[in-house]
Amino acid sequence: MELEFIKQLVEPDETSKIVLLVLDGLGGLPTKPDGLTELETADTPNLDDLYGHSAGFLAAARLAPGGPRLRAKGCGHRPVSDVSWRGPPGGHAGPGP
Amino acid sequence: MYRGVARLVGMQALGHSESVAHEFDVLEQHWDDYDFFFVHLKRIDSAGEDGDFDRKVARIEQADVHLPRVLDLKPDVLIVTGDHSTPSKMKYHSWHPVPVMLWSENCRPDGVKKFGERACSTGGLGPRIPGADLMPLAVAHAGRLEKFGA
Repeated sequence: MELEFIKQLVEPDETSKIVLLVLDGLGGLPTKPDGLTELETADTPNLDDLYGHSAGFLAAARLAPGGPRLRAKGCGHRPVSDVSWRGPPGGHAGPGP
Repeated sequence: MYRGVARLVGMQALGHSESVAHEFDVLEQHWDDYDFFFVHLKRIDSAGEDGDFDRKVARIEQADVHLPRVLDLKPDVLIVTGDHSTPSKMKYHSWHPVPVMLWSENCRPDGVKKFGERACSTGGLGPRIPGADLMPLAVAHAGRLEKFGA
């Protein structure tokens, strides 16, 4: 999706509330081929009940990430292309062009 | 670092994380002040980086305990996900895709009874979407995205 285009479609509505709950490093792996991941192993009745009423997907990654770019990704930035993390000499880091 | 990134994308950082419970205290205290909340629980990742499978499981379960506090606030959209994968068997951040669940009155439920990586791999919004597309989906499910080309 083109974020700049989408921003033009967003209606200001400060009465609706959105919560993004990030469980850092949530994704995992089984420790043996037929095993479960950490999340699949966990006893999570509340998450499971909510998922029964939710839609899901896997967020693609492809690269093993460092830290800051991931937080920006969850807020709509593309970690590789959208954000410059190094400002000019003597300047400050900020969004890229 | 987290506070700096939050400011970079236009958010205000609230309070200091003293415990998992305190993060939800802060959410409740500021519920009337903002329309978007980013709640970040760090300790799950730390357990993965330590290679401690059981502790990572326990910390996911700890987060689960507090989920009803968020639901009691009656958000219009609630997304639960990770920022990346940290498999405890690898002890570091990995490239594996991350499970995401999106709840709203306007979502089309998958009807799956267990939240997990493999369940989300067949999810109704997927199978795989760039993480940067998460916010447009959130805004749309909040009823705040106009039709385009109308």
